[in-house]
Amino acid sequence: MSDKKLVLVVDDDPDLVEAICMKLESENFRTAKAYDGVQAWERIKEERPDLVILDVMMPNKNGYVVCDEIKNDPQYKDITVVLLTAVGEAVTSTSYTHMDGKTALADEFIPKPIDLDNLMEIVKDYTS
Amino acid sequence: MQAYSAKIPLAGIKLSNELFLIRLSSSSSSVDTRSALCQILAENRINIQFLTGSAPGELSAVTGCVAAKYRARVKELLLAGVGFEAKPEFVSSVGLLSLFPHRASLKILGLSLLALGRSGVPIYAMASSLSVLSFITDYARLLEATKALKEYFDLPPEPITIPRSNNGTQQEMSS
Repeated sequence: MSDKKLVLVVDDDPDLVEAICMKLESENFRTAKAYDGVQAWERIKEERPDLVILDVMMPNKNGYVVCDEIKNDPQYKDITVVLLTAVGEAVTSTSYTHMDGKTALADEFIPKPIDLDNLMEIVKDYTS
Repeated sequence: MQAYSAKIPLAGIKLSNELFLIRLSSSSSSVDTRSALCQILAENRINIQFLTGSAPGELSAVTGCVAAKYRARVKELLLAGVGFEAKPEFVSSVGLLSLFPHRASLKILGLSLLALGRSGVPIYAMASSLSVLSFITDYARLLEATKALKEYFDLPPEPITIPRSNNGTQQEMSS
């Protein structure tokens, strides 16, 4: 098995998933992709990533729910979760709340739009 | 329609909320329609959800889409005179269909066009980005277009759609 760390990238924006994966692969990580919360769980069970980069606002199952499910599951709670948040501006027009963010069990929160270099530093810190 | 014998597996298909299409064209290649459209929309804080245009040196034309709620405002802004020699055209109710990943495959592009062409759904604009092939068609025919593409591509059973908020309004596309 490869000794490269596996990072799962989950977002419903395929271009963002691709861009993050390309950057991660250039930094010597393996990557897996998912486009909603349900697919994310399928990938987690299939491949058990070392770290998950998880968008919050997604169809089917949002990032807060997936994050808390990971962190409350004894088998997967050690997986690092980095939440990508753009919820602030959407609080008044969507079902997302600031409280969701305060109570989420993620290891790290990164605001969108993403600074890719900053994201890489965080991923390296948690996987080294 | 006869199903394609070996469907190509793709990760997904995404359908937008209802959009309003704007096309600006000019017979003069010196008119920068792309910058003009972007400037007008940016000045009025209107998000652009799709944008594609001609290459520099070609006939100057740009196609953009904004949320349908901005239909009247954008029409008013462009028809009121935008200070450049360009002809605006509009399509009231369109949707964006995004197929991914395209893997830089001409076969995927060709089969997409074949599927949509055979089904008879109009294609008002198309573009490729890092991972996505995007087609603009009638909003009311998005599901018909999806069904046509499934004749050629192995796709998840349900397309990704834009979630609705508590008050029933649709969210902006990017999250």
